[in-house]
Amino acid sequence: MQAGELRIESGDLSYLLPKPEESNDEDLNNVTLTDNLTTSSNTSEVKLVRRQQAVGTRAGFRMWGFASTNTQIPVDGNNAKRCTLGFAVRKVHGGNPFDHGFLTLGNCVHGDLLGIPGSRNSAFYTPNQN
Amino acid sequence: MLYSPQCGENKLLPIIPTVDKTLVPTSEVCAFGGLHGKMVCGEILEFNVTIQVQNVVSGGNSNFVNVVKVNMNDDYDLGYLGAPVYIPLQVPNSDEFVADPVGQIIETLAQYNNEENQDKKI
Repeated sequence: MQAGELRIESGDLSYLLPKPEESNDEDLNNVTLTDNLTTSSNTSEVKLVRRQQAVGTRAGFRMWGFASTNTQIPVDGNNAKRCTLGFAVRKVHGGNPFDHGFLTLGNCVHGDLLGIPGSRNSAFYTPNQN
Repeated sequence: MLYSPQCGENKLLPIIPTVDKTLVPTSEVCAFGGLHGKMVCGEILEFNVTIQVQNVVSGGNSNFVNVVKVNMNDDYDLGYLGAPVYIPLQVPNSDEFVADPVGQIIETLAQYNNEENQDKKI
């Protein structure tokens, strides 16, 4: 990755947050994933509507770096380590550009997520623990 | 945006990068995060430090150059690794603050010195 490819997001970042009608203060700290099941006049017609996921994530939130993708329960210092999400960034040039991401410490996220072959670690954000 | 207890309470600070980002020894820098999600600030102790950090994931070592060493004013745990570091700037003629991003936490001093109790004030 070349220098300058990542751009720190600044100013009004409200578009990164859930829309007002979908969130409240509690929602900002919880992942919402809901499947609404609706029926039409013909009960045999069932429509499955998947609502938009709302994830309130900001720089400074805690994250886990796992020692293995097989890990189910993180234990700090054993099979996982706790770190903090860095600034929100977007990659606008080079390969695999993206609009929404966070700077993380390489020591917290294993190379598998960075495209390094042979590595198996994973990392994710745990909203209920922040 | 970042949480910050500037003005006495936690609030979100908009991130506004400045063009001139020259750090001086008197600069106060802050970081938000850690195990308990709080802001800590500190004074710059030293510039252009080179350190070698053990990568607990890969087992190897990583060298960092031009590191800025900061003495934080509050307890500072290992969970801050990777946390955003910024300078809180007060908007002129306003009570509002913004966050000027300056870097990322790559190591704690206690960890750098391989001290036994690494979750403590540095």
